[in-house]
Amino acid sequence: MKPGAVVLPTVDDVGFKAELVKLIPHLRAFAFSISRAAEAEDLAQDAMVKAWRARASFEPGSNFKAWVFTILRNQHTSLARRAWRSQPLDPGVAESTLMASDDPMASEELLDVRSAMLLLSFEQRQALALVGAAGLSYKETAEICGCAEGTVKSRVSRARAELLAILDRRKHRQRVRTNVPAARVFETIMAEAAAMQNRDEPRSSV
Amino acid sequence: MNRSKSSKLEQRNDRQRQTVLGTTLKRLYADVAEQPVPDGFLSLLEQADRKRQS
Repeated sequence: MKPGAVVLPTVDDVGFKAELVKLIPHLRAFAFSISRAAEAEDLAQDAMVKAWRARASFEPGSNFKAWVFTILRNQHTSLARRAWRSQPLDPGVAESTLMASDDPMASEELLDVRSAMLLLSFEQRQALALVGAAGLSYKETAEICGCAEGTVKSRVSRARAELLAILDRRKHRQRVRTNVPAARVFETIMAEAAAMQNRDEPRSSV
Repeated sequence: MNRSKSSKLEQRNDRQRQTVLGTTLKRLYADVAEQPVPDGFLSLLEQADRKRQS
């Protein structure tokens, strides 16, 4: 833009801004599902400002949410790549710092999943956040992540499996550390109850 | 417990855990999405908008 040029707000800009403001809660929610709390707010703010500056390149009538999410996702990807190069992630250290930086108001279960999410590869995390947390379709997610739908599907399923494995390992470590037999007793009772239920079911023809 | 029964149990546990995980992920997202937008966002956007107009 030439210095001194006067640009009047157009109706399009006003409408664009209103739509962008409506999406801010989703930008924040997406950012908080893929990065630690200390960085998520910046990530969401950057994406919002970038979206505003790039408004001329948005095609009216296309998926606005996917367009804005793509900006956030690209920003996150370049930050994640930079961080990876400068400092290889040590899972032990990462886990403790991630746990510490979380929202003190959230329940333990949420914190657990949140911090486990942050141990996934950034690509798996993005895919799982978009499909599993934000509830977007595989198609939209593929568009946002710039990959094939099949790739999204496999990233999501690997992310889910990996997440459960991380939570398992954590639970196991906790059990060893605190040596609380209550958890094991509960699991035994549940396993026995399920086994009894199985016994009542008609025998399968194996 | 024989092997097929134990793997059936594992499968059921797996499905259950996947469901719980799915619900937790959705709540994680919704918790933030339902929060009021911090002032910083709107003032940043106004600032970016003013830059365009000046």
